[in-house]
This record gives sequence, C-alpha cells and structure tokens, in this order.
Amino acid sequence: MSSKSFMLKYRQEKNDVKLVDLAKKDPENFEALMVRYQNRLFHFIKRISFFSKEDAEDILQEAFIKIYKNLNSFDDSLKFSTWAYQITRNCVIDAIRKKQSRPQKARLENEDLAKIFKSGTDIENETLAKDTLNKVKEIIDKLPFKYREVIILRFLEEKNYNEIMDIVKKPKGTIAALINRGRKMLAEEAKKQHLIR
Amino acid sequence: MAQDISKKVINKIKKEKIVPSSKFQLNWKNYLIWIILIFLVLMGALFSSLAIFNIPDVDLEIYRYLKLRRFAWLIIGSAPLLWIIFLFFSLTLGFLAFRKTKRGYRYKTLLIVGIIVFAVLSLGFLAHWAKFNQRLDENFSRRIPHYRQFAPQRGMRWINPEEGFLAGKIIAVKSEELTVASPKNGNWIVKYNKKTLVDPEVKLEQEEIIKAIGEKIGDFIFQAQIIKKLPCPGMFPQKGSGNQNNFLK
Repeated sequence: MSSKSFMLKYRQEKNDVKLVDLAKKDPENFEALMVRYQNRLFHFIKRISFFSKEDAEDILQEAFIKIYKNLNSFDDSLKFSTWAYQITRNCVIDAIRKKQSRPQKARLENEDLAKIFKSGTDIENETLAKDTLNKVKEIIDKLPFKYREVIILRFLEEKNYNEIMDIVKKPKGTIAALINRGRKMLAEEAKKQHLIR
Repeated sequence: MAQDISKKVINKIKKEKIVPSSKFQLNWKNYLIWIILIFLVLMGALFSSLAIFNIPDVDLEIYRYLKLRRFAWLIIGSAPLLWIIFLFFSLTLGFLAFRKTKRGYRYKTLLIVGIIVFAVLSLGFLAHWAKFNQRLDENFSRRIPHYRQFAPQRGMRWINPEEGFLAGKIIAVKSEELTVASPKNGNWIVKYNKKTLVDPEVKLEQEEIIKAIGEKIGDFIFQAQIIKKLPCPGMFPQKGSGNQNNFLK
C-alpha cells in the first residue's frame, strides 16, 4: 500500500468515527456512512449468500438499521468498516436460516473468480480463459459457508487476517486454517473435474 | 441502488422513530458473561483449594521408600476426585465463558487456558494459605449428609495397613513398640527399630498423632519403616463431625 493510499484510509477511518458520533445525535448524519459503505456491503452480501438483488437489498437495509441501533456499542478499537461487515454478516446468516435454502446459482462475477484463483499458486490462470467458468462457480458454490466467507473476505473484499478475525469472530489461527483448507478444497475439486492438471 | 437504500433507511428511522439503543441494553449480555466468568473462577479457586488441602500431607521424601507402585496408589487412590472433577468443569466453563466475551475470540486458546488456570490456582493457594479450605471442609462434613462418602477425610489415605500405611494417636509407648489407636481399625502395635526412619519432629510420646509407613506383619501388628507426624489436625474426624470415633476429642 502506498503512503498516499494509507493516509487516505487513515483519514477515512478517523472520519468514520466522527460520523458515528454525529449519527448518534442526528440520523441524517448516518446517511454519509451508508453511502460510503453500501456498495461494498451489498456486494459482500451477494457474494457470500447467493441471494437475489432484491433480497440482498432487504438484508442490507436491515443491516443498516441494526448498525444504527447499535451505534452506542461501536468500539473504535475496531474499524467502522470491520464492525459494519460483522453486523452485515450476522444479518446474512439470520436471513439464510430464515429462508433455509440456498439459491442454486452462484452470484460471483467472472472477475471475482479471477481474483480468487490468481491468489492461489497451484491453480493455473489459463483455467479462467477456458469455457469452464460455470464449473468453477459451481465448485465455489459447493464450498461450505465457513470456507466460502473467509475466502471471499480475504480475496474479494481484500481484508487482512485481523479484520477477518473481527468480522467472523474466530481466532486468527482458525481463520488461517479455514482459508488454507478452503483453497485446498477448491484446488482438489478443480483437479477432479480436470479443470487443472 | 445507492441513494435508494440510504434514503429508505433514513425514512424508516424517522418514521418508526428508531433511536440508537443505550450502552447497557447493548452490552448487558457481555456484562453477564463477565459475571459468570468471575463466578466460575472463584468456584474453580474454591475447588482447587479443597483439592490442594488433600495434597500437602504427601511429601516427596516418602517416594524414596515407597517406590513407584505404592506411591502411585497413595496419590491416585486417594486423590480428591470430587474436587478435581468440579475443578475441571469450572476451568472448562470458564474457558468457554471467556471465549464468549466481546473480544474473547481474539486470544489464543493456550493464553486463555493459561490465564484462567493461573487465576484459579493463585486464588486456590491463597484460600489454602488462609485455611479457608480446611474450615469449609469441616463445615461441609457437619452440614452435608453423606459428605464424607464423596470427599473422604484426607487423613484416611494413611489408614490402610494392608497397603503399608497406618495412622493414629499414640496411646502407649514401650521400648521399640508403640500402641497406636487408629480411627478406623482399632488399636495397633507399631514396632520400630534403629533402621526405622523417625522424623525429628516426632517425639514418640502419648497423644501424638503419627503416620507410619511399613508393613503389616500380623493381626494388629505393624512394622514401621518410616514414622512421621500427620501435618495438621483437620485430617481426622473432629469432635461432632458425626463420623468415625471422634478421634481427636
């Protein structure tokens, strides 16, 4: 990360904390926070849950209401974004439990797959050039939720291990193990289907 | 999508007059978990002190004479199992409670276990030092029916002549022979000689409470290899304990 982008992020985090304080006094100030994070959170919901656009929007609304209600428990030892992801993830899990079903088609975009596979050293990039994207999506789709979410957080949301630990509330060692195991499972399944050598 | 959602949320907040919940409302579960955790640590300390209470009368010096098998029998056979089981449960539940605190997931298992074990044992030793465990043990034996079936008097481990352990009060002293009243087995002749290791603290006089390690050589006759003092009076039934023969009265 360049020093310029680091400073930018730092300022944004400081700004988030100020916005949280202001939002506690007047809900209008909460809008700035929502605008800042809604796209990221919306994509996160779609990526980990496979819900339709409409359902994902409903979940996001619910997540924002929950964030607003919980503003007083925001602890600035966490980044606001990490905390927002944590609450959003809980809303997604609640929604999955309520619906008790998983839609069949993966919602990952092609560039998402590229990001996941580029991060692995054992999966060839040429895979993505072939007409196998649907199969790859299916493999990811079949991955258990606990592996899926950490892989998405790491490679698509580009969160570091500490942030992932705070979002999913699991120890760092467990996060590392889940990411490694998830990637291994992806590679093994891809090999089985002859997507890679 | 972007503007729509934030507008919708703001409208909903205003329409339904939603306000941020108070800190207490949001954190009461965390406070409760901390209270439970503190309670479990205190209970663990209590159980550990009761377990420690059973240990100090076994000194390692005895190991040299007993050899491994008999020493293991002494330790394992008379271990305060009840308190060890309760202690184990307190530690496990304490660990789980710590994990459930707001930031409990951040710490390594080993660190959490280390902190809890350290806290429990430190407080346990403190309670032992303050003789809180002895008073509690005596209280329990008076107030809880059948308590001694689950938590035998700690001196009882020394009353097993078949295994080579005999304890009791000296009621008569002759040359190289003691008559010892044992609370469980009646009166015994305890023989000793120059080879017998007699602890310098032991004066071999009447009313003294001793433990002897050696061998049963006949009916109510015991050959001692070691004679030591029993470290504290709480080891045998006290007056009014409702057990044994009010040995120390």
